[in-house]
Amino acid sequence: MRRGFPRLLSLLLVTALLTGCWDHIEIEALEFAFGLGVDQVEPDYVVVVEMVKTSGGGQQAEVEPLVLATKGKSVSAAGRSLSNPAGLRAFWPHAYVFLMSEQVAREGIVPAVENIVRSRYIRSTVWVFITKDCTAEEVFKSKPPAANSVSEHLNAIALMQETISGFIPLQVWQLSQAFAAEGIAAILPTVKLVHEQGDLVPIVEGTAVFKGDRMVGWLDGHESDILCLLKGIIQRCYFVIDTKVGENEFFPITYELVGNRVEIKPQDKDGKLSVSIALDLHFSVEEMGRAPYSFRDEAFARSVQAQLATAFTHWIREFLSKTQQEYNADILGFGQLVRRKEPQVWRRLGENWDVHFRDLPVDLEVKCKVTMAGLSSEPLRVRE
Amino acid sequence: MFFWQKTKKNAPQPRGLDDLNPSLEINLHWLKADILASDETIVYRRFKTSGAKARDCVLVYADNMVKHEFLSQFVLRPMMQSSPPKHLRGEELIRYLSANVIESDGSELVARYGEIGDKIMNGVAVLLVDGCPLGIAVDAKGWPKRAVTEPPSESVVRGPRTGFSEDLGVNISLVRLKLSSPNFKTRFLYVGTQTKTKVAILYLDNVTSLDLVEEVARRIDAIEIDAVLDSGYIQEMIRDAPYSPFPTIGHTERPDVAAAKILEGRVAVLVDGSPFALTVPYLLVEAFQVNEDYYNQWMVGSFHRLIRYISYFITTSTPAIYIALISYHPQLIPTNLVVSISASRKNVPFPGIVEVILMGLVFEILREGGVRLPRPIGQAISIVGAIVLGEAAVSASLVSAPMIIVVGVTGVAGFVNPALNDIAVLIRLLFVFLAAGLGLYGYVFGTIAIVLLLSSMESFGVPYLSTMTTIRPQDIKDTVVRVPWWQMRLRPRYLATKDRQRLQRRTGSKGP
Amino acid sequence: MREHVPDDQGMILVLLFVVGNTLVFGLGGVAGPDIWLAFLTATVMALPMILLMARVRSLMQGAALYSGLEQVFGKWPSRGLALVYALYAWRLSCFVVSDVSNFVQAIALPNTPKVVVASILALLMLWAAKEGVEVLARFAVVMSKVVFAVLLVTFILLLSVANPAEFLPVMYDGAKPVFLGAFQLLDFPFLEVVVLFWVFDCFSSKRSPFKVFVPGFLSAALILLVMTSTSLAVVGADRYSVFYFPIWTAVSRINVSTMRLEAIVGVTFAIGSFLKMAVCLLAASRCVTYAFGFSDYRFVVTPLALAVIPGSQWLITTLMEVEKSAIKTYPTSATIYQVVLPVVFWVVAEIRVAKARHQGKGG
Repeated sequence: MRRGFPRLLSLLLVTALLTGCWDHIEIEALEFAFGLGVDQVEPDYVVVVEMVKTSGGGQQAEVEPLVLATKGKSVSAAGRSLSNPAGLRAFWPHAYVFLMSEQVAREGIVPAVENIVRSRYIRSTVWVFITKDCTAEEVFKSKPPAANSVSEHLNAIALMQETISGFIPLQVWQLSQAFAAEGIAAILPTVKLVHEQGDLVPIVEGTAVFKGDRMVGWLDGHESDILCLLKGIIQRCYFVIDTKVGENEFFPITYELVGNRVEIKPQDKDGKLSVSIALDLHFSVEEMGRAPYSFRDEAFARSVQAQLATAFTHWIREFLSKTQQEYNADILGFGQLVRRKEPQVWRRLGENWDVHFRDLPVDLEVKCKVTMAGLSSEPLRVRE
Repeated sequence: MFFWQKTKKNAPQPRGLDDLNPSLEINLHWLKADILASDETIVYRRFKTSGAKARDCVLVYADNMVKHEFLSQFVLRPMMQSSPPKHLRGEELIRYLSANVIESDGSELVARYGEIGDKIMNGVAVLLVDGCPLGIAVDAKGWPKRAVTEPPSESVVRGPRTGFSEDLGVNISLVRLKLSSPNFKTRFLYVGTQTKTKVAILYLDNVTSLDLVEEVARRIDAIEIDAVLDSGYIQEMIRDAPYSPFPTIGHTERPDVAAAKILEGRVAVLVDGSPFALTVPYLLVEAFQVNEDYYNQWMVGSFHRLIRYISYFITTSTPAIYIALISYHPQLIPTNLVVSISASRKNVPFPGIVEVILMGLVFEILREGGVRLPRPIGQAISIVGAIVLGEAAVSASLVSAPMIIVVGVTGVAGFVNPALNDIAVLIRLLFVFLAAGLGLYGYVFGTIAIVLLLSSMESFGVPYLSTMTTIRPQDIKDTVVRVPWWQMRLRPRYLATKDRQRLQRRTGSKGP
Repeated sequence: MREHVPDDQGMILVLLFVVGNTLVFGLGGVAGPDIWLAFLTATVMALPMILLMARVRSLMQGAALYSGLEQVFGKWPSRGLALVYALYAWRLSCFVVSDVSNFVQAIALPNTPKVVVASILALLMLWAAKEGVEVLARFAVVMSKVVFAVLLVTFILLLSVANPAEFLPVMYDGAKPVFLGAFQLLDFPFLEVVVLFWVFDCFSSKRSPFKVFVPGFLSAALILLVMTSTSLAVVGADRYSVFYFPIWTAVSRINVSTMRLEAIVGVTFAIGSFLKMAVCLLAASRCVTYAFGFSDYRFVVTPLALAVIPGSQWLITTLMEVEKSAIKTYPTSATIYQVVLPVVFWVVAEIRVAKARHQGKGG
C-alpha cells in the first residue's frame, strides 16, 4: 500500500520506455478505403479500390471519392500495392462493400473472397455484391445522386432492403457461413448500372445463384422477392397484380406484403423424402386504381385472396423449378433443413443431394389474407 | 501504516511550572517580565475591594479576547463592592471570593504561572489577589466570531443551511443539536506544542466501535507538531496510505453531514479554528455521496449519484480513450465520425498526445487562475479561456475541434465530484500516457493498476472499497444507487459494530 | 500473517478465475453444434473434483493452508506436493500471459512486440500477487461487476443475431465429439481450479470451502456455457472452430448502428485473464516458499514474475501454437495435476483425519 505510488510510477516508466509506439498512427494520415472490387482473377488479379479523400481542417471538412485500379498476384498484394501510386495510406477497417464481377463469380469466388474472410483489417460485416453486365471498376466510377461515394450509396441501399426489396443483402460472414454449411447453396445480391438523368447510377437488384463457389445463374428482382418470402425474411415489397373484379374485368391492384410466415418441413414417408412449405402471407392494399369494389364486400375480399394465393403458388412453383431443375442449387437450404430435422435421412441422401434435390417433391400451401386497405375501405368515387 | 514527524520536545518554560507567590507584586513582576513579557495587548486592571480591609487585586486579561462588559459587570463590580471578612487570607480568601463574590458561571482556581499564561491566551481573565498564592480564572471568552452561515463549498438546494464556523464549541453544539442523545460522546485532546489546539473526537457510544475511537485518539495523540492551524494538518498526519493520492479521511463543513457519518458508526474529529470536520474511516463511495441524495426523493437521489459516477469515469478517461481511438484504433470509431475527425485534424501540426496534454494544461491553468480570484475577474478569465483559446486555436489549426470538446467535457465532468477532482487530474494523466503507449490496452492496464491500488488501501482498518467489494444485498443499498430509507434497515456492516439496527420496524412508509 | 477472504469475495474469485481467459478462446469447438452438451458433460465430470477439493480444504478446517497440510500429510510429502504445484501454477501463468499478449497482438497491436505487453502484465501481476489474496479477491469483485455488465450487454445483443437452428442436429456424429469437447474443457479451464486450492489461506468455517468453490465454479460454467453457445449460434456451427477467437468474432458481427463493441469485449477478456495470471503467480510463489520452508512468500514473487516474461515467450511463441496448446485434448500431465494428485490428497486426508479423530476419542 505504501508502495502504491512508486508502483504506478514504474508502470508509467515501463510503458514509456518499452513502447516505441509501434502501432501508433495519426488518424489524419489515413485515407479510408470504403470499397473493394475484384474484376478478374486469372491470370492476374484486377483489383479496384474506392477511397475517400478528406481535406479541409478547421471547421469545414470535405470528402471526395477516389477510385484506383491495379493488377497483382493476389487481392491483398494488389490492394497494398495501390498505396504507392496513390501516395496515400489506405485504411481498411471501415470498408463498406466488396464487389466481384460476373466473370470472377463464374470462375469461382473463393480466390477473390478468401482474403476478405481471413483479413484482420477488413470487418466481417462488409456487404458483398456481384456486378451484372458491368465491372466493379465501372460501378465504382459511376455517380450516385445522393451519397459521397459509391460504397456509401450501396451501403445505404443494403440497409434499406426491407423497403426497397428485390434483393437480399449479404455480409461476408454470412457468405462464408453458407459456404461452410452442408446442404445450402450461397446467393449474393447483384449490382447493375442504370441511366439516371444522364449519369450512370448503380442499383442493387436481383440475385446471383451459386453452386459451390461458382455462379450458375441469375434471379431477377421479382424472383428475389419470392426467395425472400420463402426464406422468411421480412420485406415489404409491392406486388401489382391484375385482379379479376366482378364478372370479367381486370384491374391492376397494388398489394404490399406486410407479413409473411413460412414453415418448411421435410417429410420422410416410407423412405420417400418430400418437403412441405406452408406460407401465410398478409397484404395491405396500397392502390386500386379504377377498381370499383369495396373490401367491405366479403365475397370480393375472398375472391381477391384466392387470386393472390393462386398467383403466388404459380410464382413459387416457377421459382422452385428454376432452382431445382435449371440451376440445381439448393438456395433455400432444404438439405440443411433435412440434416437438422431428419439427420437419419440426411445420412442416407446427403452424399448425392444434388440428384435428390433435383426431383424433390414439394408440397405447397399458400394462404393469403388482405388485412388492411389503407385508411379508406371504399374506392375513390367520381360523381358523373 | 502512517507516519508523523518526530520533533524534540521543547524545553520547559522557566517559570511555567512554578507556583504563584503570595505577593501580588512578585506575581505581577513575573507575569510581566517572563510569562507574558513583551505583549502589549495584556491588560492589568488594578483595583481594591471595599470594606475595612481593602485588598489589592489585579484582573489580567488579553484585550479583545474577552467580553469586557461581562468582566465589568460580573467581576469588577461585585469585587469592588465586596468586603471579605478580615480573618480570611490566602487560599481561604480566594475560595471565598470565588464562591461568594464572582458572578460568573465559569471560574476555576489556578496555581501556576504557566496555567495563567495559557488561560489568558485563550480568552480567560485571571484575578489575582494580594496575599494569595492562587488566582481565579474567570471564563469570559469573547472574541470576534463568524456567524453560522451556509458553507460555500457544500451548498445545497434542499437541506439545512447551517455550516461549521471556526469556533470549536459552537461546532460541537451544532453537531449535538443533530444528535441530542446521551449516547453522543465527545473527547478532547490538545495538539501542537505551540498552539495547544483543542481537538474534539465525536462519536456515538452505542454504535461506534470503541477500538476505532481509541485508534483515532492514539493517532492524534502521537502527533507532535508545533502548530495546528487547520484540520488539514491532522488529516494528513493520521491518514492511512499516505503515498496514495486518494483521500482516506473525509472532511465536511456541514453539521448534518458530520452527524450522518457519526450515525453510520464513524468518528468525527473537530479542530478548534477550523470549519472542517474530519470523518474516519473514509471510503471511496463517500466521495460520490452527497447529503442531498438523502434529502431528495430516492429515485432522484440515485440518479444524481449515478451521474456522479459516470462523470468521474468521463473526467478520468475521456482524453485517454480519445487518444487510444485516434492513434491506435481508428477502426473502432463510427465511420462518419472517423472521417470527420480525420478531416478536422488535417492541418494540425501536433500528434494527439501533445494536443491533449497542452489543452489539459491550459485548462488546469485557467481553473487554478480562476479559483482564488474575485468572481467578476474569474468570469473574465473563463471568457478568455473559452472564446480566445478555444475558438481561435481551432481556427488557427493549432488544435483540432474534437479536442476542444474532449477537454471541455473532461473539465466540466470533473467539477461534479469536487472531493476527487484533484486526483482526477493525476489519474487522467496516467491514463493518457498509457493510452499513448499501448492504446486501449494501455488504458486497461492503467485501470487495473488503479483498482489494485484502491483494493489494497484501508482507512482505519476498513477496506477502502468496502461497499464495492461485496455482493451482499444489504451492503450495496447505499452505493451506486440509494434505496429508499425504509429499505436501509441496518447500518453498514463494516462500520457499525454494535447496534446495527437503523429502523426499528417497518415504519414510516408504505414500502413495497 | 493470515489472510482471510470473505466467502462471497472468494466465490467471485473462483468464478473469474475459471471464466478468465477461456472467453478469449471459446473452447469446445470440436463438439460442433453439441457444444452445450460438451459443457454440461464437462461440468458434471468436473463437479466431483471440485467437491473433493472443497472437502480436503474443509478437513483442514480452521488451520491455515500449510499447517493444515502438514497435519494431514506430514511435512515432507506436503512440501513435495507444493513444489509440483508451484511448477504447474507458474507454467499456467506463463500460458495465460502468452495468451493475452498474443490476443492483444492479433486484435489490436500487430506491430508491438509481445514482450512489451507481457512485461507490463508481469509488472501488474507482481504487484497484485504481493498485495495478497485478500486484495486480489477485492479486486476480483470490483472488476467482476464490469465484466458481468459487459457480458450481459453482449449476450443480449448477440441474441439478436443468433440463430438457434445452428444447434441442430443434436449429436449427428454421435457422442464422441461431445466427449472430446468435454475433455478439452476439463483440462482448460475447469480443473485448473486446483491452483486456487493453494491460494486461499484460511476459510471462515468448515462449510466455507464448499460455499466458495461450488457456486463459483457452477456459475462460471454457466456463464461460459451461455457465452460460447450464443457465439456458436451467431458464428455458425460449421465455422465456430475455424476462428481463433470465436466469441470475439461473434461480437464483431453485432451491428449497433455503427458502434463497434468488440473493443470493449477484448478489454474484458484482458481483465479476466489478468486476474487468472495473478492468482497463478500467487499460488506459485506461495508453493515455492512453502516447499523451501520460508514463512513469507512475498520475496519470491518478484523473481517468479520476472521469470514469467521469458517463460511466456519461450513456452509458446505464436498464436498458432497458443491454439494448439489450448485446444489439445486432455494431456496426461493434466491428468496428474488435476485428477490423480487431488484424489490421492483426498483419500489420504480422509484416512488421516478419521484416524486422528479415532485416536482423539480413544485418548
